[in-house]
Amino acid sequence: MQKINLKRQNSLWSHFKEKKQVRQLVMMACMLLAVTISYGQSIQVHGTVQDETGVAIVGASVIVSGSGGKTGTLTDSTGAFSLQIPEKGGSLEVSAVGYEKVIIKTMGTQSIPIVLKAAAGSLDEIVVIGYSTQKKRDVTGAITSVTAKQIEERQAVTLEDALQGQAAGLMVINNAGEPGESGSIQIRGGSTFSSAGNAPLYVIDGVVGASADNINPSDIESVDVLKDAASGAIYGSRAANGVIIITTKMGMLNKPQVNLNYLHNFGYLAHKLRQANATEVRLYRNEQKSNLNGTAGGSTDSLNPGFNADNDYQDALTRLANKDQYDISLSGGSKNIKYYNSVRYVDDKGLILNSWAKLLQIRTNIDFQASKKIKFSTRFSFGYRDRNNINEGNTINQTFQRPTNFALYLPDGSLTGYVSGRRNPLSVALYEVNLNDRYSATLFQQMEYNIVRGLKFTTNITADYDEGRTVKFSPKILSSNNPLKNSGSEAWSRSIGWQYQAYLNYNKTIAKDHSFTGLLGFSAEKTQRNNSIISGTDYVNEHILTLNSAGTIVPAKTNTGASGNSLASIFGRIGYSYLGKYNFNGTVRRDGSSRFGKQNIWGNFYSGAVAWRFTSEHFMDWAKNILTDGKLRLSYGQTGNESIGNYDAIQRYGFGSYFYNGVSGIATGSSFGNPTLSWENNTQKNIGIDLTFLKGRLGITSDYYIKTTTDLLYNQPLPVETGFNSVRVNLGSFETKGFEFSLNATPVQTKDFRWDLIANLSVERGRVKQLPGGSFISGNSGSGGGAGWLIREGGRLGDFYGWKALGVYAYDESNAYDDNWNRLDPVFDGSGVFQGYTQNGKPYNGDVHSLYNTGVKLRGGDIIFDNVAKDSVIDDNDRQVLGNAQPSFYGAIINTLSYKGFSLSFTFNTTWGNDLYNNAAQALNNYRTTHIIPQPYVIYNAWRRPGDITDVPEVSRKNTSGNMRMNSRYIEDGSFIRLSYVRLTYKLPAAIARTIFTRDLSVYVYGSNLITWTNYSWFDPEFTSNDPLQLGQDNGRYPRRREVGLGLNIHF
Amino acid sequence: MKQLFFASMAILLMGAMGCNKFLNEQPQTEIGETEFWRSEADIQSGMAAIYDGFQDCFGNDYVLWGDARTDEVWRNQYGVDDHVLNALSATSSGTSWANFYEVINRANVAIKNIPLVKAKYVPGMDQAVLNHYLSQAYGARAFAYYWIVRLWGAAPLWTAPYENINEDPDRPRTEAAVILDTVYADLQKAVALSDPKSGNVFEITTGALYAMLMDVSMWKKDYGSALQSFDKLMALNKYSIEPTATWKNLFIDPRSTKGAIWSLDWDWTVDGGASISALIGAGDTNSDFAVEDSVWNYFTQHPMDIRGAQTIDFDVTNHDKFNKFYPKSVGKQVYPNHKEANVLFPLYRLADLFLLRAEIANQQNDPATALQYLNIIHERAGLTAYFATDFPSKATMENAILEERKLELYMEAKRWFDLVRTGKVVEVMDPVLKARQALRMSPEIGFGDKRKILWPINRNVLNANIKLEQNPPY
Repeated sequence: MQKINLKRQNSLWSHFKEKKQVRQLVMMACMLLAVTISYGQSIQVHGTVQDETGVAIVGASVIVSGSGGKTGTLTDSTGAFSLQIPEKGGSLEVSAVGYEKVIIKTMGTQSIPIVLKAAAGSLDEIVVIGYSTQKKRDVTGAITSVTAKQIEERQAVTLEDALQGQAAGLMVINNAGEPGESGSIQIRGGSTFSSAGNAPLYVIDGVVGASADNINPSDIESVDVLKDAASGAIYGSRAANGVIIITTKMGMLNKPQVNLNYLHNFGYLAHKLRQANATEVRLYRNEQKSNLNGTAGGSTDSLNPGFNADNDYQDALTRLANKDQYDISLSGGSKNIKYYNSVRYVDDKGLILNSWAKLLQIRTNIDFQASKKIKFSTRFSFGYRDRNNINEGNTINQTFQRPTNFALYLPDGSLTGYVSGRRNPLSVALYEVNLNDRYSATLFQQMEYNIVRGLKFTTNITADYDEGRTVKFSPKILSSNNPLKNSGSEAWSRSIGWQYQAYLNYNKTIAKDHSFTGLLGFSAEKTQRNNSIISGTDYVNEHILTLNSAGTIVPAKTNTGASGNSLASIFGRIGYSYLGKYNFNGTVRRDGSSRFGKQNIWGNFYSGAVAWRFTSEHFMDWAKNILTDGKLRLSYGQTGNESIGNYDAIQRYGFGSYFYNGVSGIATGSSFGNPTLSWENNTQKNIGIDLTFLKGRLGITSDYYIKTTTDLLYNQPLPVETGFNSVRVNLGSFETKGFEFSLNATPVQTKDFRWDLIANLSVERGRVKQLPGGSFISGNSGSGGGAGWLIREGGRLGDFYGWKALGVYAYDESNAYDDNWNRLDPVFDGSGVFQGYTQNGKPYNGDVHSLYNTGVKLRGGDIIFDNVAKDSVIDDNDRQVLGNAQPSFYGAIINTLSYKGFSLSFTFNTTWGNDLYNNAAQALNNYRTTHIIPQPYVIYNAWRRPGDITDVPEVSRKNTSGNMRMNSRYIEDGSFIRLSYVRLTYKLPAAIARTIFTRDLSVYVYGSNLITWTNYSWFDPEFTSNDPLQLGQDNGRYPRRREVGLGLNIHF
Repeated sequence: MKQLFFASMAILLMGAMGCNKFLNEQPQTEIGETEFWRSEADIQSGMAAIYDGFQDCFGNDYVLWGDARTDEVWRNQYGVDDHVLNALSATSSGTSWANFYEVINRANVAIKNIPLVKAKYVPGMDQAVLNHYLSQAYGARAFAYYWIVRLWGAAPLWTAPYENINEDPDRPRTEAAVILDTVYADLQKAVALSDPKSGNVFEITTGALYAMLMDVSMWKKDYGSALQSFDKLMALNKYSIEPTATWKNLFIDPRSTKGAIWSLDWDWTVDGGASISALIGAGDTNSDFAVEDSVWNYFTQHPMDIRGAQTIDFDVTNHDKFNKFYPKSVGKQVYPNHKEANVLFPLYRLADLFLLRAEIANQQNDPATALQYLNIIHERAGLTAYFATDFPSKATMENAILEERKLELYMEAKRWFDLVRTGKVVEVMDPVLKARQALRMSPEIGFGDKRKILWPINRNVLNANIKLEQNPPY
């Protein structure tokens, strides 16, 4: 009876309980029942339970062996327990989550000190699989879990910090640097052409599709990453790119616990770049002047105080960054109620002057067990973020563009504004306003009701509120108008949404060996967004930025907008397990989205997965001592994507932008509404193996998958003669094949010393399988210098497409080719007079051909472009794929070493084999604008006179010879290895900690981005590309910080 | 088991309840196609959208189409060689006809729906008012096709809106002559429907339609028809040559003049700035184009020609600021930022037609009339009249008229079409291009292949329609 009871409790509690706590909670519930049973002949025993470092273990279960779990208790907040045991004595089984179980013989009534060893890996951990949980040993899909302990070592401010390098197949790009910025997370590579469609689905405490922007990483109890489609399919729609399930912390049954943490971080400019100094600027000016058709060098007047500075702009614009991070949490529980409350406040002052962000996150989690059958849960979270969003283009990029001899200050000490068309980056940083504050709140209420044994009904509702406000203002000092003019705007946005879910969980075991689980549910959700903006100019006062200050309202930039969408779903799952040896899971989900055509609202998604624990077979018995557990997994699943415009399926007439002669026109937009629009489908096949060696000391997981997207939601160009530019269609397909490997090990484990290691490696190869029209160019397809990408059948996303530079013509006569377009070598006599051509050392007397650009013959000092088309013109037929922005592989190694009270954790991560387009350097070196100074290398190495051998073209030819078109000069290797996180913690021995009335106290030193090995020349090779069709272009970003900090953690 | 069954049924029932209705989301800032074209106000909005399409067409590109390839301009350091060195390619700016087809589609939608407004929703609507709207839609469609056929030659012909995803959107090019016939037929239909008393200078009025008819006839070298259209235009008694003193008003306040026939309205506060200003003169950026030396020299050497100082900025040493479309400042000329520039581009004005009238006379061997019309414009510019003896031949008269057109209509997108129409592209541009090629140290081939008179079709436009073929030799 007790055994059955325990099972019931298990299913009751498990749904919203996190893996680490589950067993504990189960035991607690069990104990509550058990202690009510009294015994006649018994004695009292006392004891304490500690870990290897002497810290008390709270809530460890102590059970009298042989009592069938009936007699036992839990340790209190000091790790102590006392227990009635039968007089005759016996054994105590002591266990706690994350520790190995021990059995102790009791002898009389003395106090027993019990030390538990930390367990190495655990197959009994609970994994959240979507509307339910599963033991890790029964999981059939490719799921990786990240624990609170792993996250704790990171001092994470964002989810990206918390997850980077933690799981194979999880590509986390961290934009650390700018206050309030985060980065991007992608699971198993992109599968479609929109960035929204490539983002994973977040499920936070059961709320599907929640925003991960506001999660406080220190509130996270566990993160479960559902990578394969069979695992994600229960979330059908939007799960095409994997699911990240986040479960937040919950209090435990004991006295309230208070946890305080404070961290102060100093941030330094990790990589300072060399810039042309004033002398080099003048050298360049002379070069400009000396050239035919060159621009008048200018702005070097030695008597003009405006042009006689020699600034180190990076020094002037940056500072020591300071970040304070405060955390406080309070948790606990009693018989019927459990709670967890937390507050985090981050005050971040970034590297660039006047860049800052403030962040406040509040969370309250409450579980209330109303009766044996009913449980209520509440999750409330609130986020506030306030930041000054520094304009990188006008600050940090400007520092490289602006000549270093231009004055930053006027003789009277005030800052200059525009000088010769170039902004003063200091003035911009200090005076430009771009304040953005945002409030968001999520309230979640859930009821669980146990109808009968094994059958549970869960229903919940979530309300979401998000409000943002942006105030922009550019004062007169920053104006380029004549006369000077200020301008600004204030924008509001609001997003509200709700989500309702109801589902049934059923589980039953038949004939002991056959266990079945079932799930059937329904969900609906709706989101509504509204926004408004008012723009004005001629503010009468530059400190009052409300729009009553504006002298003129700009109607073209003053408007409001609104949109909404809704989703509804029915879903079900059936699971079967035979003795844990053979496991099967199958799901069906039917999703409806308001975004599709009326006939195609619904999409059906199926999946199936099997797992075989081959180590349970008798023929594997010989390996038992080494191979503790081995499982082979096979899965197939379908998921969907609906990340398109809310109304792409409707032909619409719009207004507000078609004014003429005082009348507001009404017209269809440039995109044609397609009523046949339907779901994009994603099918994924996964084969994986999980191996556990040496009782959990070593674990290996490896997966291979093929992910295919069909009916791609593609913005197809329409013939412009229809009056439209494009139409959203379901056409084309995309395929990603990938391999993942991860390893969990505890190479050393002695009494005092322990070394844990996590390593992972991911390889992804995505190709466009089918594309209507075969190919198209994304980004720059003209003669400009920015990057262009070729998207084509058989190609990869991120294929840079431009012209290959082979060098620079040394002489005018060097532009000479034979009939097959092989280069000829000009020969000159001693006095430099041209004599004729040779080829491979032999005189050449055939026809001589030359290359042209838009009618202009290329000369000495022009770039030698690879003549792909083999004709006399360098034009768009000569483009080729120059490189790819996607890595060959990425991976990470995370080490945690602990010795007594010390623990050292450090993470190396790498991204390897990707190319980047250094558009920041290109923008400096294209000679296009008189007052943008190239990099020193260009100034020194530009072609000057006939005979110069160099790779830098002559400085006056901006765009007559096509030298500045997108070319391979700016393709750089983006590979890097980084020591990304380090934390050294010292935890006071428990005895000492207690003397100062704390449960435990630790101090730590923290560092991030400490060392980076890379050949990439601009600030940093790691950054997010917003558009999956335009990967890897560095336009000059907020520089990354190198952080070092000190922290203190107190636990009462 | 019973509980399981009932609970499951309950879940499924909840899922099935009213889902399709729940999932019916309608746009909140736009309207569906069935909710439009129901009132006269809707028609007015539909018409505004057509003209707005012309703003898209000409707001950035008219200088490229009508002036950049001629002896009016040279480029400065921020421009490109494509237009000024006859080196266009499928990626050059100005090679897309998309904006014209945007106008055509909006006009087609209007032509289809305007009659339905009366038939279905407003039976009492005055037929004459409705006809005048229709006439503008026909006129707009004709005008857009006229530009297309002059720039690219043959082009796909759409005379009904594209409304159904199942309709094949790819159409091959229709012969230039057929397009031109459609243009002419549309214009005649438009004239018949239009009300001479309606409209203003920013709209397609009866006058504008006659101007278009005259222009098209000139292009077809049908001088008789051109003359008829001119006479009908003058018979409207609406237009007269603007006096010398207020010549500038034709460009900055056409409504106040009697010389402007059809100008493009612009209001940057609602439409954003006319981006053409960034090519020819804006306060916050350098221009792409500079005044060709021949023009610069003529105007600086003939200060009595009142057009010079009101057309180009003599104070700018780079020769790259064109002030024609901005009010004259006191002292140094002030240019608006390109995002705040209004350019009231004159599509037709009387001086244009008077000079065409002179051409007709010259072609009809009536040099006296030709001289008369030429001198009206010439003298208006503050210059002394030509004598008949100045032009001993038909050819010299033609050249004088074209030269007058170049100066009078400078940067109004007329010169290129004058050269093409009169077959003078190679004759005029060869020496200019040779000099420029020499400057680039490239072989002096002049204009080169005459097929390059037609523009290339933009690469993206070609790619989007599988049935399109590029103009040779591009």
